[in-house]
Amino acid sequence: MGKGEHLAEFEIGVLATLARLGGDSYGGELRQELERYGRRLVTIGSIYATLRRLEAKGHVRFYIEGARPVQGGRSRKRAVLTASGRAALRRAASFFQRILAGIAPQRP
Amino acid sequence: MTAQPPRWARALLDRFAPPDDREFIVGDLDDEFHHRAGSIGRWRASWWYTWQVTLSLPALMRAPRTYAERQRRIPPPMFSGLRSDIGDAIRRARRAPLSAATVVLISALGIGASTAVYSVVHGVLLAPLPFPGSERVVRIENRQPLLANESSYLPSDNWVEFLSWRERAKSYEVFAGLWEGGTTRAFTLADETSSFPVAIVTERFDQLLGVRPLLGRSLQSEDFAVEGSRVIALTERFWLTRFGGDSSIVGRVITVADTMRVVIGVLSDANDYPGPVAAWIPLAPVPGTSVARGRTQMLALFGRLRPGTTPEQARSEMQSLIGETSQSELQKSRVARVIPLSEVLTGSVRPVLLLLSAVVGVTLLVAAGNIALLLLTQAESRTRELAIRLSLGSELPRLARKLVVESLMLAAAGGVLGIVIARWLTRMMIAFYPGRFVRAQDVNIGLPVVLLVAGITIVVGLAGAWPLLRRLRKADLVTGLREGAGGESPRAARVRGALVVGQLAFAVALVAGGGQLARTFVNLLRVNPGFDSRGVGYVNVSASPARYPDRNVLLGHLDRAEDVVRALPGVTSAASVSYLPLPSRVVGWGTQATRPDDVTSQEFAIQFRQMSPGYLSVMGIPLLRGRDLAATDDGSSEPVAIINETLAKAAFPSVDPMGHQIAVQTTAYRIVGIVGDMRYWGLGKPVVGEVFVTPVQSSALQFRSIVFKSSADLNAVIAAARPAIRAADPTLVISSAGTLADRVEAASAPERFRAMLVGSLALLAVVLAGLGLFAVSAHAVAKRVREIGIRMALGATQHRVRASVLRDTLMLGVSGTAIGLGLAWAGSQGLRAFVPDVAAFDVAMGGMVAALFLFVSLASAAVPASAASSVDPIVAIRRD
Repeated sequence: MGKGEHLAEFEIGVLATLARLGGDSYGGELRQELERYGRRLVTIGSIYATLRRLEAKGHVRFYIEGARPVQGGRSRKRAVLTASGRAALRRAASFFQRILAGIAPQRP
Repeated sequence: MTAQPPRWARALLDRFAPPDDREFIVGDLDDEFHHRAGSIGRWRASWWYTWQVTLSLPALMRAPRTYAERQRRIPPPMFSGLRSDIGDAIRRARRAPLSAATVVLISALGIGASTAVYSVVHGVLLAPLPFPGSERVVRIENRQPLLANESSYLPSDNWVEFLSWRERAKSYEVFAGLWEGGTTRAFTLADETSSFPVAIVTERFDQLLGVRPLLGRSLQSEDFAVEGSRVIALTERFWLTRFGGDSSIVGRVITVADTMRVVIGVLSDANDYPGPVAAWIPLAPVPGTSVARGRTQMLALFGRLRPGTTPEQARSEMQSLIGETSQSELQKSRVARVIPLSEVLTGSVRPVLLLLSAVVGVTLLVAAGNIALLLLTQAESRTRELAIRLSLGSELPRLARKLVVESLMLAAAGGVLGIVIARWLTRMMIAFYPGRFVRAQDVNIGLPVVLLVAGITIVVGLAGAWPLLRRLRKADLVTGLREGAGGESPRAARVRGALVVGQLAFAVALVAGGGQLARTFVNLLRVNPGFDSRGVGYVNVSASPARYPDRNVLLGHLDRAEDVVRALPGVTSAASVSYLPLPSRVVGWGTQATRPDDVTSQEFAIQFRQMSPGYLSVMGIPLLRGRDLAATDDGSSEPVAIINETLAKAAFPSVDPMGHQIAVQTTAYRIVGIVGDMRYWGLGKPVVGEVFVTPVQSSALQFRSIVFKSSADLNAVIAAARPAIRAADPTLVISSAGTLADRVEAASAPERFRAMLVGSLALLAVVLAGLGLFAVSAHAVAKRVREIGIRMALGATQHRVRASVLRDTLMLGVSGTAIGLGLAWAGSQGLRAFVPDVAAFDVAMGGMVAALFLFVSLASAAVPASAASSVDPIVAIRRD
């Protein structure tokens, strides 16, 4: 497994959030969700940049959702978690679980 | 009116978001803005929006703008194109084989030499001995400082002392002894008697060395009691070669030194210490042996320290033990030393190896300088090619990778060849080392060394690519292109000049060092050993005391052997002595002498020798006063002795020794003669006091060195002596024989070895430095062809052109030599740390070295100078 295949912390965050949102979401929703769960500031720019990187690595693919004739129903670019992405996420999860075992998290 | 996000933030977003995603980013952010505006108010929503945009800008700006860009962002798999790079590198090497071969060869030589030396250093000095606890095994010495030689033993009651120390020394888990004197024994196997080395040990000595029983058992406590000591344990190698690995060997009875011994087991080989012995025999106070009388002069003491005990603690404990058990002032003056076993094994070799490491390192530097020069030159000539490639669209990283691959491949070829050279060199070094190369079996081109070589290779490869890589910057390429037109950049010329001056300096230092070592060796050859070795050979014989308990009978047998040798055809005279000078290892009986007629006198440390009449004349030892010993000096006449000059001066400073008495081991001898000093311990070692008596008038030793003088071929005489002695007396064992001249030569062998090794490396360095100078000179001429052409067209003569080239080269040569001489002078002080008796670096040697390098400089400049002078001006000017 080459060095380029390890996920950065933020990439893991995005993938995990995407998974939590059912594997199919869009930039704005991802940003809000990650900000809420991660409890730190997340910018829309970083979300899109990360999604693009994840797409290049094959962990995510995009599709354009057509406009719907409702409020907030504009056309959206949605990201879907691929099988490779799911696998990478699981790998990262077990990696961190192992190395962070016994480390108490910071108090909120 | 619905709230709108701040316009300027929106404008920023529009401007900097990547076009593909712009509408979606804006849409997402707007959605959330509106949502927030509804819940927390417009101002706070605007504030949030601004914050989001601002912080997103870096990520947005970094995003690739076009599809093409994005494609390129995806890092190409590492190995695509690598194969083509390798192929290109091979093709390029084939097109310029000489240059590639030179780089490979020089790297190989440098890498090979350093790998060889470092694997030897690793195997011998650094790697731990291959058995557990080895780092705690030490040798315990009690050295008598008056004895100006290597022997560290004192006679009388050492056995009792040993037992007492063994009981009281708390620093050791195991405390044992090894008998180091006369340790060959005659094995009678299949009706033939031959001598083999054995290890005579006290209890648990084998444990110290990690020796294990392969068959049967090892020596145990019952074997060290007098009754149970008629046993023997064979070593693996001896068992395989002499008994064919017979598995029923245990329990068999074999005859050793005319004693029947039961084989109790076969032990694994302890290769390094005490050396390749055939068997292990327990040391016990059997009646009739010197041990029973309390004498164990030759007992070397060893121990394994308890974990946590330092050698220093053990040493001070031993020093106080010595104080407690000493019974005379001389004994009290003994100094304790505790030396780790690894140091004992490698102590003699260590300075040579370290010296060699330093020398090889310097040679490597010289070689590296050469490679750097070559690569720099290459770099310049490839500037144009690189510029063209870049302008045609080659990507910088790929180009860089291509250059690195080329360089690494050359370095790798050099590395592989270097390992081959190293293997050969290592074998040569071990084979030619005078004496036994301790731990030779631990020396191999092992993993650590291979890794080191790989590391060096990579460093060399990358370093080689460096000049080219630096030029990849556009600015440098442009200057490079412009340079190619004519002349050369002063900076490059300076770097080149510095490299070559550095090479020369180091080469000079090496040659100077080699010269010093050579002179040391030559000086040693000139030392007068105190005897004349021309035409003198020797045969060592021994009889077993068990067979001849009556000492007169024993002496008779040995005398008879002497008569046999005297009667051989071609032998003009023969005599014998207990110990021949210049032994290859520590033997000899250090003891003390006193003056019985002077109660105030102290004890003197001496070497005690038994010789037969005529020994002095066979050996050409000058008799300065009095007479030689004679056949009439026997058991019924007064004990007499001959002393050497050193002892005469030391023991009788104010009187004439002749006629006085000297007492050795309870016998008082009257001094009847004084002889010249002999260098007993070594050509460079100090002289010790010696006392010579006849065997009859002292204790009977069961061995002798019979020396003979002959004008015939000495080896032929020796060949005739063996069967003659065996025929006359089959109970005698001939342990070794040779010529005295060989012994003298062997005494200077280490110095010769050193000088040769360093000399070869120095020679290599000179050749490399000369090549470097030649390369620089030739390159300079090539670059300045146009300028030379113009000068000649304007009237400069061939002679002047030649002279100018010579002068430029000489300048480099002189600066290099000057710096080198300074280095050499500084280095000669350092050399003294490795070789304490090295000859000095004086003006004469400096002059010779300078002359040598002057010649080398002129020689290197010769060809380029003549090439320069034969430049055709017209052709030169027309050339680009």
